[in-house]
Amino acid sequence: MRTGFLRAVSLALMLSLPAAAGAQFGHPMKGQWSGEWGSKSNPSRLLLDLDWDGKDISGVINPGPTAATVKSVAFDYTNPSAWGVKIQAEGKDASGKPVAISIDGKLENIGAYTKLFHGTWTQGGRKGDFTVTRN
Amino acid sequence: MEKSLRTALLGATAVAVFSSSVWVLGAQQGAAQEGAAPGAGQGQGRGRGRGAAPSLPTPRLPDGTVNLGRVPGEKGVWGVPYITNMAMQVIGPDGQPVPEIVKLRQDQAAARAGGAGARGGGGGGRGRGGSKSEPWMPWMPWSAAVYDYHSLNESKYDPEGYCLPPGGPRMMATPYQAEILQQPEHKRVIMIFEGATHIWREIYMDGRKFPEGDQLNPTYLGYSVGRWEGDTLVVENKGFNENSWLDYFGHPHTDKMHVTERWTRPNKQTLHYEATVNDPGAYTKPFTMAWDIPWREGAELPEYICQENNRYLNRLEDDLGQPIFGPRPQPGVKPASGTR
Amino acid sequence: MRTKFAVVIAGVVLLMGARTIVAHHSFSAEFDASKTFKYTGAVTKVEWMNPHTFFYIDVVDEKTKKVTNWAMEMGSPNGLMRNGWTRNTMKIGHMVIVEGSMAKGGSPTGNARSVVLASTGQRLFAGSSQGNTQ
Repeated sequence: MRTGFLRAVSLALMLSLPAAAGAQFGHPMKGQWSGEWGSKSNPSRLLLDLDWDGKDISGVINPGPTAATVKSVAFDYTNPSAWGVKIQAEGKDASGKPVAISIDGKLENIGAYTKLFHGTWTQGGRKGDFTVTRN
Repeated sequence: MEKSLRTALLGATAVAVFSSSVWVLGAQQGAAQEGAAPGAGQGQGRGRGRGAAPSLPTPRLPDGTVNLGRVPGEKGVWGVPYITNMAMQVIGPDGQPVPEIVKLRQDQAAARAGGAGARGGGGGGRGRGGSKSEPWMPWMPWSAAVYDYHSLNESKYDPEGYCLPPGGPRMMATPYQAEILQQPEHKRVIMIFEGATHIWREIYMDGRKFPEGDQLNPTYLGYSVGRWEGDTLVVENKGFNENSWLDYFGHPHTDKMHVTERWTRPNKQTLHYEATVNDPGAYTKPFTMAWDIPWREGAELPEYICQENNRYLNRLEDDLGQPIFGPRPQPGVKPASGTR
Repeated sequence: MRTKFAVVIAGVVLLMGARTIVAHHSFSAEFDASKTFKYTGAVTKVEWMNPHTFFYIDVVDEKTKKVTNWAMEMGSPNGLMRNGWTRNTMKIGHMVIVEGSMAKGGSPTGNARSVVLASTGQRLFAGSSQGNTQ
């Protein structure tokens, strides 16, 4: 009884600070995605800023001095609830050398605001797991 | 002297009530007879039987413009029907349902007559066939995949279920009544709706240009500019946000959507609604949908506040078992499923 | 004299705030005006929505290097637009310096009173939802 009341109260408070109530039901890849890739002990922070123009997904990975530009995105819609997504991007490392980024992941939780995109991240010879959620 | 006046008034009132109720019956049956038009089969007029009421002429304002609302001295509202799947309302250039829809409806009727329940095909109710069952829709691969996703989970994530307003034509497909208020002296048409939380639309009739770029703030109902072409109210709508679905079945749209509406009132009892959706972000070609909306003589709009007690929000979990409306998680954390 | 003037101004500001509170949901139910913060971080999202616009920044703890994403609340889009701001005023990835009051309860949420673009020092979205007339 009491837990139910507490739960209701905390739910009411939570509803006043909702989880990313920014609804978005256009193209599911469009928007900002935050997360990490690499080893658990020393992960690299990720911020993807993606857009959809009616033909292609375009955008930037980690806007700023080491930004990478999205070059191509391919989708596999065989499973409507978990899309296959492959992204190729090109950036520069800290010394200015060109770096190729290859992302192979799954797009899930498509109906929710905090969609999930996770899989394998390959960058400059290093490979690791990545997880980003829609901001 | 007073007594006879009172009796006379009572008598006059009785006659007025009697005749207006006759009008009401006549109007409803008239609407049922109008049912040949696309969409009327999906909600209104079913089972009302054949009435003999004649269709009444289109009412007009003093300056001759079509009156899309009440006639002075009378009450009434538009009985917006429930159109769950707008793909079934698509019409061709001749204004008639496209041949695939006609065939689908015939197949469904035959199946029903044969004893089987209404099946698949993307019609109203259960048994959604997804994008493949609607080959006439100009799908892009991603919009078909999203539609299939919504078909699989039966519109679980419909934002109208969150008491959010619809975008585009869905305001005329959500089954709550509406009124149209023409204000030619202010060069605008206002539409007020019982549904989607006491919402209204303002259609500018002053010939203005659309705001551009950052000035066009994307909204749920879009920015609307209208004009009369003869007896047709043509409204252009742009500047939709991406927080809504096109319909209950989950046809998606993007913020690039441009909707052209054509409103006519062929007779007093009928509002004929046509909408051309041109969304180069989600569909490869424009498509046009149409349905009829019956007049409800004598009715008034009640209050409806959707978000008053929407318990659905408290229960709703996403595909990963997390509450949709809950504390904001830190980004990038993949939750373990079912931890609730 | 100056103190008296300041008190009068503070009173006016509080009254303005009170009007907002009556018209909208309560500031003090969500935020603690006595717990202030000043954070610098990269913008990860802008929610140009009602009843309050939110933007989000990644705040890096200098010692632990841990990144926490903070939600910053501002006024409604209509109010901000009347002051000349748009949904594209703030760009993803830009560094901003945010000052404001923390949310009660410890979640990484703040009510933003001042937002300054780190690269130019330009003050964005002048006027916060605290004490702002809607």
